[in-house]
Amino acid sequence: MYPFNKILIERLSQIVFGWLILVVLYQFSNSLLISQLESPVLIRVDLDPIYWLLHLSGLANFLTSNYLVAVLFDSLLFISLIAVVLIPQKQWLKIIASVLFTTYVIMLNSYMCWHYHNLVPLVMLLIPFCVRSIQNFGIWFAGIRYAVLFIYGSAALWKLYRGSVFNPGQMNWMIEYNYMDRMVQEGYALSFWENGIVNLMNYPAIADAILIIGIGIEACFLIGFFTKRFDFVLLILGVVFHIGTTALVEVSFIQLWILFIVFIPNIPFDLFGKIAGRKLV
Amino acid sequence: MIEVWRLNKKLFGLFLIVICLTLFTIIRKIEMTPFFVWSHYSSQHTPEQIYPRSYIRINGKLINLVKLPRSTREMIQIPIEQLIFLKERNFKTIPKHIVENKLNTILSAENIDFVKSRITNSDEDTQRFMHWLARYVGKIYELEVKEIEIGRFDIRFVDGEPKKESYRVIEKLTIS
Repeated sequence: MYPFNKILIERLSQIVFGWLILVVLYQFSNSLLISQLESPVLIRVDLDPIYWLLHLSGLANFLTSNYLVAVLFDSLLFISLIAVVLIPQKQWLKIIASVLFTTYVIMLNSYMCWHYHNLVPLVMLLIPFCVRSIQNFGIWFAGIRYAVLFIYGSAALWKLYRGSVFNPGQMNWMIEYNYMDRMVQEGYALSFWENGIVNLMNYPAIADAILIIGIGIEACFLIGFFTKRFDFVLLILGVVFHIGTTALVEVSFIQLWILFIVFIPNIPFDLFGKIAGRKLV
Repeated sequence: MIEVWRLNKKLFGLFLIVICLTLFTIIRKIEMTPFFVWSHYSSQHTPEQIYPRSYIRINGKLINLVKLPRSTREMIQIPIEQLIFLKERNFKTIPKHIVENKLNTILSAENIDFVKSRITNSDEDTQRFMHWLARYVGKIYELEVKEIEIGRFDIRFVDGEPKKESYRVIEKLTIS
């Protein structure tokens, strides 16, 4: 296990919570903070007890039904994240920021009527920062690495199990499904890049090959369950995968890039040692 | 896991429970935070002839959502889809079914109504939803919304070219 110390954990807190500030600003720019939702009406809780609890307690309704309360919640979320970056020594600040961010994600998903996966894995990454002892931080951090491997590895296994990976025309369907609204919109001219992607449908063999490569990248994460030697490769593959899905089908999970921080302890040069300002291993 | 067992036995137990629950939720194909099913785009599909879509019309004019950032667009489109889904099923959902048919043995009728009002929607929410949609879309597009309409249409591919057809109004609201 990586020999974390207090200074390194503080630096990592600043990096991770600093990233969350950018995520919240991105949400703000897209009119998706609680105070910007205009008191939404429909909810979708499915069979998730956390969603049930948030709505049964009346908390979600309380936070969305009054504009000033919603502004206060968004402000507290933003301020708490900034506070962690400025004062990373304070454990209670990290816990408050983590609870507020988790509440925000669950609320947004339930009012969006879709339990979206673009933010919720970030909640998982906050767990190590909420434990007190350095040893437990290290255990959780290593544990989250396996959770990240599971996310991408299981995504590949699902596609293999359900047969979409070798399904002829699958990639054409994905392109069509994601681009048809633009293709059919009067007064909307496809950009050069969008045109290129749509034209890719004329070459289904190439399109399907790209899909297989993408799923192959996801499958590579399964290797991480057996060895840490390739963590640096996985980090790069993860970024490449998300750039690819953004470029091809506009499924951008850029918010999740920070998850790949769990691979850094095992990359060849001791980046964490450099972040902490001294040699750790 | 061996190292975790050596360092912290409580955490080892917790991790074991997490692994077991992860396997359980995958087998049952249910999502319960923090146990998720990462199966996006795993269903088999091939290009189809017809794709049903939803539309939104404000003050008589169709709104072009494609220029919005994807997540903002989804905050408009997915709740519309959800309303259509709920109306097609008379607002009967799995959570509502569980509350009405599984929790009725332990909760009073009054409490059942309370739980339903907190975690589910009913037909009475339709008008409130339309008002919400008018507020949210009006703010995004900086429009004064006097009339709002949502509905369904089909995108049909004819010789590789997509065409819009079969518009059906689902709900309409005039704001005085």
